[in-house]
Amino acid sequence: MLFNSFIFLFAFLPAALLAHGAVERFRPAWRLPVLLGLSLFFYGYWDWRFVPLLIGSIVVNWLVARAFVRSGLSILIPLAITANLLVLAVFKYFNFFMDLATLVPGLPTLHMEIALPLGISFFTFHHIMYLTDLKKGKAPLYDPVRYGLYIAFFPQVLAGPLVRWSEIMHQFEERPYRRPDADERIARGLMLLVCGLAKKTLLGDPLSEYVNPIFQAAAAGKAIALGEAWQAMLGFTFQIYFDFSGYTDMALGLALLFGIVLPQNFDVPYRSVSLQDFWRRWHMTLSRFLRDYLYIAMGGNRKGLAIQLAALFATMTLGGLWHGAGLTFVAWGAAHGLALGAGVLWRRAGLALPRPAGWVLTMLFVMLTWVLFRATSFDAALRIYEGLIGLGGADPSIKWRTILVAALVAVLGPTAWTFVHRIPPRRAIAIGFAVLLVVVLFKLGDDANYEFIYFQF
Amino acid sequence: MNSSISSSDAAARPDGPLWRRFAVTLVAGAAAVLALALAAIFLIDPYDTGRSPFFSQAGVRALAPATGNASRGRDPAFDAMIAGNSRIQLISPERLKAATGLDFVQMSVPGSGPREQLALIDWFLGHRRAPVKALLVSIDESWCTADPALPSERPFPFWLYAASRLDYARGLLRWEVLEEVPPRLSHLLGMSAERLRPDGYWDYDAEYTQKGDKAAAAHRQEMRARPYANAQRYDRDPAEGTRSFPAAERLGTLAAALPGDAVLILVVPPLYINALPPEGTEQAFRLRACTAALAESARKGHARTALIDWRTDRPETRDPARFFDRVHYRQPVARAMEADIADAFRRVR
Repeated sequence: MLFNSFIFLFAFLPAALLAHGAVERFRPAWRLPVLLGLSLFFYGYWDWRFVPLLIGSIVVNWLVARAFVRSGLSILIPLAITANLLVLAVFKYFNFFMDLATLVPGLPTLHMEIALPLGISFFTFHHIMYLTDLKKGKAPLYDPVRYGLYIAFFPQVLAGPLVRWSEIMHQFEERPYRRPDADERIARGLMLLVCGLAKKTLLGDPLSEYVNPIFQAAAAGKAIALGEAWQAMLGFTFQIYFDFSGYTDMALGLALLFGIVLPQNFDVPYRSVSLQDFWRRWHMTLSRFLRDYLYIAMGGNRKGLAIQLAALFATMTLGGLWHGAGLTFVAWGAAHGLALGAGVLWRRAGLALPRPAGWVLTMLFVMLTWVLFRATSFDAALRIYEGLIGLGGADPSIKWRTILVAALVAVLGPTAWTFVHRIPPRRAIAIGFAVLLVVVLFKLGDDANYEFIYFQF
Repeated sequence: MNSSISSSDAAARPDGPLWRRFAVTLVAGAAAVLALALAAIFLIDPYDTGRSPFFSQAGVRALAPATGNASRGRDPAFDAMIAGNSRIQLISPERLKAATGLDFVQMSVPGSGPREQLALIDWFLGHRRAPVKALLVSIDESWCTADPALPSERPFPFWLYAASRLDYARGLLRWEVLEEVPPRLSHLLGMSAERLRPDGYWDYDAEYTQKGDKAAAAHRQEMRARPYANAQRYDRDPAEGTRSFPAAERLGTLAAALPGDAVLILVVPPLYINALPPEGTEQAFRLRACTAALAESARKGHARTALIDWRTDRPETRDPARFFDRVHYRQPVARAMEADIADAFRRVR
């Protein structure tokens, strides 16, 4: 069930809100079990076969947490984390590693046709965050319903944001509709949902029409002309932003309707003046996870420059691999790791760059590496790179209008969260949002069904 | 920057009621705007489906066949219909009229299969004031599917041809429908002259000859390929008696519903010789069984049924100059097929 589908907007969401509102009012003790049930139904609607995997994942991790708390056996936690990563590896990386193994002569080849359970990359990280903090003595043991909801809460189960247990657990204990700002939260949640839908359907999806055919042609080995290559690179730069940040806005808005505040994930990333700045503004909850649970665990910046650079490189490369089982993703992550390392050296040398120059350099680097991220192979990426400098033909024609609008919104506009929190409760504005929602609904009605880019990860 | 995570037990804030009103206005406003928009579109009837109590002025702009046929299929000027995909598109209503005296409407839709074509036939039959006189159905390989769902290869607006007004109204919630409102309004107000060709004929042969076929080289290469060169040959059908053609049953039901003196003509469109499965291959057995099943089912339901099979090895299908690609023939082939159609019509009438 996509957030941008009629079945979700006209059936699941109203039914879920009614059910949740009713139990919150008359049977507050049932609120969390009902929310968990709704979340499992939402997840199962995609493919019921993966529901046992999600439930099993919750139950096993919870049992391990309980066993650890009761026995104090600290080995249980690393074992559980390893098991979580193994499950992720089997579903997501089995063929990738098998294909790599074929490069070694004499090794057998094995290929498994296996569907990727949605959200597994995200809920695996949720388990890891909780278990790591449990071992450190920071996190308490919760009951299975609360823990299940932490993992499976439907606004974030499929593609984040990656939530820390400490950000959400205390919110489960509230009576959300009894808060003094309950009405305001619901109103702002609705606005965020509409903003997210509008970002995806009016900007992200139209851009995909400009982008996909060119990357397809590049994958087929065709030469890409100058204008087309720039159209593909610029188009994808803004498509992925509006697709993913639009999804996040929807997730945050939906969570607000159910009385939960989820963490921010984007902070105008295309205004960044350095790559370090970019990673503080792009997919912030992932950056935070990588920093706290990988980079710092590897030594971070406390063990000398060499370790710091190596940890940065390793963290970003693994971050690249997390996005997909492909060497292009690994290369994308490695490129970011190297560039971040260069930034560290630059700052250590006490050098400075005027902000506009920093912005131009950062944007160029981010856009060029997005090509690698989007391309299905190194060859396809190379076709686009050749096109960017005119080696694939000099035809400069480019569909620039939607790209320009998207660029202006992405660079100049506030984040949707900031925007909806500045809005006063005026009826005319509510009607404006109502009209925008109807426009979006007409867009959603077209037969083309656009999934979210981040559902593949 | 509110919606803070900190919970406060302060008294209700003074703007609480304002926010409640805001949220209710947003949701109720969206529901009202949506209902009004759909009602307005329903009344304007952008595709001229005849479902609106007003604006029954016929005719739409030159839409693609999938949507344009809603208006075309209601035109009382026609008493006979051609159903199929691009492989029957070149059969000319004008020439058939000269040969049979009937007024055929071309309602073929490129890329469509049996499910789409059956929906269009229902639409045409459901909008006749006088009994239909002839129905020509192109039963190409898509009619030989073993899948009872008769899956579609491309999106098709089934909602536009739906029997239920509710399904139709739900289908109106589409951006492409919204885009069709201004042209329809300008037509209703007499401001635009562009019209859909009523009989649905499209001479792709003339158009490609004039403009040049961009993919000509690829098509020629495709035609030279011999996919069955190494196919195994059998003395008997290796899957005899195990094949099922669910589209045949649907065709039988349709045939049984036709008025007694109507003529049902089934045409199997030609394949260029290299794409034609040779005698003895499993594919040849399968296609033959399929044609037999379709024809038998149709004859069972309706006595005045004729079958014209052009998926054979004959001089016309051996001449590459008479084809654009493996499945699309040119005018000389279309004319020869029309002669056969007229003969069959006279035979069973």
